[in-house]
Amino acid sequence: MKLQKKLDEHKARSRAALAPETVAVMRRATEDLRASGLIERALTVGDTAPDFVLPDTRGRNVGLKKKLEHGVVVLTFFRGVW
Amino acid sequence: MELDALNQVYDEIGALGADLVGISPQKVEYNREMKEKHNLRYDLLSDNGSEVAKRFGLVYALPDDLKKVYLSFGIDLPKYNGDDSWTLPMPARYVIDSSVRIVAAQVEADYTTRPEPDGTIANLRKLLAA
Repeated sequence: MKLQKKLDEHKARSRAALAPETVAVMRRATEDLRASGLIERALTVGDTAPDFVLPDTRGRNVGLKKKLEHGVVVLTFFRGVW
Repeated sequence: MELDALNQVYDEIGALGADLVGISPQKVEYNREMKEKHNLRYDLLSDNGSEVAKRFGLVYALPDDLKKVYLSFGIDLPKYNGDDSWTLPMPARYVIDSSVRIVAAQVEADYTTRPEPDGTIANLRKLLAA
């Protein structure tokens, strides 16, 4: 199954269990974020990526430029475990 | 779900000459928990204060009413992220080539929308063919 289909099904199930006021707050926050223009200002195709060094799950430092010596890098930004 | 879906195409990403890393503002211990729970074969990096995500222009502050909703769900962001900024990165996926240039970018305002791994694989194929 496509990822988005799974996400949509999960969203429908979880939102059905919430109070309408709660869902309204969540929906409005997403709409405001979309309208804020932040996406349009984010780095995009053609931009140079900023280099960084961040700790992995064992606390070892991982650098973007270092990784790029071995090939292309896919970065996926996500929110968290919760 | 997104991280699992990417885990399933990890071999394919490698076969296309690429590597994959996840970046989250949460503390190393929570990234470790996620990596172990989902048997992720790629690295999860901890971006304290979302400093790297900020440089990509991805960070937003949660409005007060949403903070209350998150707290009611038990999502205590200061606990997970180790700072009290109540900020998060928008979900985003970037493909970066060896000249540090962004060659594919997908950014979502809606956290319930995530880029399909298939699309990322297609981007990598295109890059390899170029």
